[in-house]
Parts: sequence; C-alpha cells; structure tokens
Amino acid sequence: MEKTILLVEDNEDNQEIYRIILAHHGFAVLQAWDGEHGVSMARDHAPDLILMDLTMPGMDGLAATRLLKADPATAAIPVVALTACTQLEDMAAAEAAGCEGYLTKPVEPRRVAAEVRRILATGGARPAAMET
Amino acid sequence: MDMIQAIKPPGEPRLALAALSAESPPAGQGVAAKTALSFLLAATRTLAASLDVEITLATVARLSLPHLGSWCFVDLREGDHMRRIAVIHPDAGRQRLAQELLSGWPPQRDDPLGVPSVVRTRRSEVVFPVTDEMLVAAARSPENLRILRALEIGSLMTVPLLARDEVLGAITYVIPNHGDSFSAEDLLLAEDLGARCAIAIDNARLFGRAREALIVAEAAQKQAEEANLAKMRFLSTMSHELRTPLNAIGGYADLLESGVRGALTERQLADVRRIQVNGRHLLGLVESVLGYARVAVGRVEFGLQDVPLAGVLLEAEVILAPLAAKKGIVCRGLGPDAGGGLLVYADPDKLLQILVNLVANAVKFTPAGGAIDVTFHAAGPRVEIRVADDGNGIAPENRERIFEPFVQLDDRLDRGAEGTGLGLAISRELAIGMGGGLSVESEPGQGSTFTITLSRGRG
Repeated sequence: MEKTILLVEDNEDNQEIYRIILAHHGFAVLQAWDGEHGVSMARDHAPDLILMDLTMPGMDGLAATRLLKADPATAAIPVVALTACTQLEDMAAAEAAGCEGYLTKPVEPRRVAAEVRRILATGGARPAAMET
Repeated sequence: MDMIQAIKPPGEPRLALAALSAESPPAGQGVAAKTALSFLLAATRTLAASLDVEITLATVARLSLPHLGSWCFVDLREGDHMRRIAVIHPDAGRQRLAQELLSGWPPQRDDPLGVPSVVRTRRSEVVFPVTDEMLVAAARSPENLRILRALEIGSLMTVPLLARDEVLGAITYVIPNHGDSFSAEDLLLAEDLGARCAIAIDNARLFGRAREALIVAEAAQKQAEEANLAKMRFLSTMSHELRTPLNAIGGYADLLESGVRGALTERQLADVRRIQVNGRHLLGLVESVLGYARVAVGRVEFGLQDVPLAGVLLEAEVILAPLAAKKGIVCRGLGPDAGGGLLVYADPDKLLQILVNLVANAVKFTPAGGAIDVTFHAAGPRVEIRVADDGNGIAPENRERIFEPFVQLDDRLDRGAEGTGLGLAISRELAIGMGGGLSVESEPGQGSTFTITLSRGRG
C-alpha cells in the first residue's frame, strides 16, 4: 500500500523538490508550511512518516516534534529532521525532541527518499549513529 | 651627595608612634640615633600603607615635625614645574601666613636657592643663617617681603625626593630665627626620609600605571571576546542562510539530473552537472569559512590523547592514495607499514584533517609523475611529521602568507572543491590548538616541506 509522507517545510523550493522526489519514489505526499499546521495535519491524516524542517517561522520543527511525541495519537509516527543547521548541538536538540532521523541540507533528493525508505523499513527504530 | 641609599624594607619591627611625641628633642639640637631610627620606621610604615601620594607625603611631613624642623613644605615635580602640595605648620596662624606666602611665591626654575636649585643639582641644601638681605633678594613684592619677615625664618633645609636617579620633588624644613641651624644628623635623617618618600611615590605611580594598563587590557580582552561571539553568531546565521538557497539550487539540479522531469540530452546533462559541481564548491566554501571561524575563535574542542601515528597514516592513505594515483604521483610514507610504534599527543580526527590537507595540497602542486614523501621524526618530547613534495616551491616572501585565510598564490590554478584558500589557515590553527605548530620550508624550484610539530605521546 502506498505510504503517506507529511512534509513540513516553509521554503517553497524545498517543498517542491522533496514533493517531486517522494512522489517519484511512489509516496503519497502531504504538505504543511509551519509547525502548527504540521501538527494538525499529522493529527488529521496520521501519515506514515514526517519530514520536518527545523527552522520555520511561528512554531519551529523542534516544538512541533515535541508536541507530536507527547500526543499518544501521533507519538509513533517517525519524524526525520531536515535542516540546514549542521552543528552538533542542533543534532542533539533534534534527538532530544524525539526525531528518529536527521538530514542536513543541502541533501540530494534521492538521499531523502532513501532515508524515508530506510526508516519506514525499520519501523522508526533510531539509526545507530543517533544512539548514545 | 651624601644620600643614604640603603633603605630598610617596610613593615619590620612594630614601633610606637610615641617616638614622635612632643617630648622628642626639638630639631637643631641633634636627634638621638634611636629616635631617628624609630621615626624612620614609623614614616616607612605610613609610606607603605598608602598609595595616595599627596596625602601620604603630607602625613609623613607632619610626622617629621618637630624633629626635623619647626615647619615644612612639600613640593612635587610635575613635568617642568613644581607644585606645592603641602605646607605644614603646627601654629595655625603661621600656617596661614606660610600658605599665603608660598602660594604667591611659586618656585621658579632659575631660583639660585631653595627647591629649584635642589631639583636641578639633586643635592640637599642647608641655608644658615637666613639673612634679611636674602629675604629682600627673594621677595617679589613688598607684601611678599612683609610675610617673609613675619615667618621669622632662621634656617632652611631642602632635601630632594630622589628615586631611580630622578628628582620627584623636595621637602623643605624651616627653623625659626631664634633657634640653631640643622645638625648633620638632621640632614642625614631628612635625606633618608626623602629617599623613602621618593620610592613610595615611584611605587605608587608604577602601581597606578600597571593598574591602568591592566584595566585597559581587561577591557580590550572582554571586547575581543564579545566581538568573537558576535562574529560566531553572524557566521552561523550566514551559513544557515546560504545553505537554504544552495539546497534549492542543488536540489533542482539533482531532480533534473536524475531524470525525474524527463530525459535530458547529453549537453543538457553536462550543463546540469556543472551546476552541481559549482553548487558543491560553493557549499564547500561556506563550510570551510564556518569551520575556519570556529577554529579561529576557539570554538573547536580538541579530544587530545595518545594516538598511534600508524593509525592516522593508514587512514590518510585510504583517503589520499586514489587522489595521488589519479595524477600519477607516488606518495611514500603512508599506509599500513608507516608510523612505527610512535605515539603522538593529538586529536586523531584533527591530525588526519591536517595530514589530508597537506598531502592533497602537495598533490595539487606536484606535476604528474612527481613524488610526495611523508616522514616523521621524534626529537625528545616533540614529534615532527613532514610532508615533502618536489613541486615548484614557494618564494620566501610568500612562506607566511600561505597560512593566511583566502590566500592562494596562483589564482590561475584550477580550484577544486577543496580550493577554498582556507586549508592551510585551518590546518595551522588546528595544529596550534593541539599544542603544536605548522611551518614550511621551501626553495623555489626545489619543492616544499611542511612540518607538523606535536608533543610525543606519553605511552
């Protein structure tokens, strides 16, 4: 069955790129443009995975992820952080918020698709690199 | 001059100020040796206790009465002229007279007698008796003369405040005209006291200067740290802001290249790949700038430990061998058999980064068919790792410049993704961060040798 990915991203170019590549790889794509919108979309549509930009106006990706992980209805949905922040502390913050994956922009679109597949296949288990 | 230069350190035996009480014999009759010593110790304590020069001098001058004179005044030298900082007279009426007189009678540089002459000659001066003719000659107005006469000056003794061969001021003692002159002991004691005062002034001034310098230095340091933080924040933001559009450029190019949007012709594909290569280069620049900034402002943490050199050289080979082979360059001294059993005290990742940078640079500047040698040498507590190439070498005037950010000696060089002009600057900062250094020796036409210096591991 076709898997549904919720893409939470404020940048229109990035929305477009990731939407196309995910669709190309056979995923159904939902889109939200900020954290608040993302949380409500996740509650309404229960996607299989969320690609979450971390830096967004209004509610940012970390806050949105914390809300999702605190809500039993959405806690099980894997969240992959997608961000231009490359510092170790940013990565640690994403992990602390509950993200299952972390992709640093710029990232090749096919790597996004590959990471999505990998996480869906492992049922959202954390990659070894993020375990402490 | 008979200055007593041997100064006893302050704060030695405790001494009662009783030695300075009214029962002490008045000046002019000679001061008993014991009383003199006691007085000097008390004065020395006062001098050592305070850094406020003027108050201290006035206090000491007051303590010295009536041992060394009936009254006295103190002058401090300020550049070319003298400033009278205290007139001390036990009699309030006379004090007022003296002050009135002296404020209307500032010492002149060419006065034949008194303070200016003592400052000029650095010698003490005793005038006895002070005659009426002298007063007439010294007075600058009839009113002046009237006051001078009323002060009933019989004898004057002026001693310099001499420290480190420089006259900082003078103290002048006065005995009224119904008393005797100053004794030899009075002069010695006054000179000794003058020297102590001078040292105290000198110390206070040095201390003041040192304190000011410290305050200035601390302020500068704080400012530099704040500036560094601001730079860091700016660079972090810049990095993020630059990455976002780069991500879009690269992303769309990747979409086109992967054929998601439909098949491309060979020429279109070649153009798209140029966009990708340049996008990656630009990204490399952004990352290098941020990386350099982090090292330069001390935001990089070093995991210093004993590292087997062999392991680092092996990792370096894995990364560098294909690069060298591609250009037909022999790279010796890397690989599984290199490094011996030597331990270096370093952060292994940072050392690898430096090594990769140096060898990759050498590959870049060595013509095809050339050779690169990586060697190491342990000398006492230090270890040197050398990367030598047989390329064109570096002119003497450029040998330090190449370690500056963004300096590339030949702008015509085809810059690869690593050609950001930051490699050597970062490498040197990293080496310094590990307690070592990075230097270069080179002769034009004879190749270059870069030397990483590190501490030897303790094992």
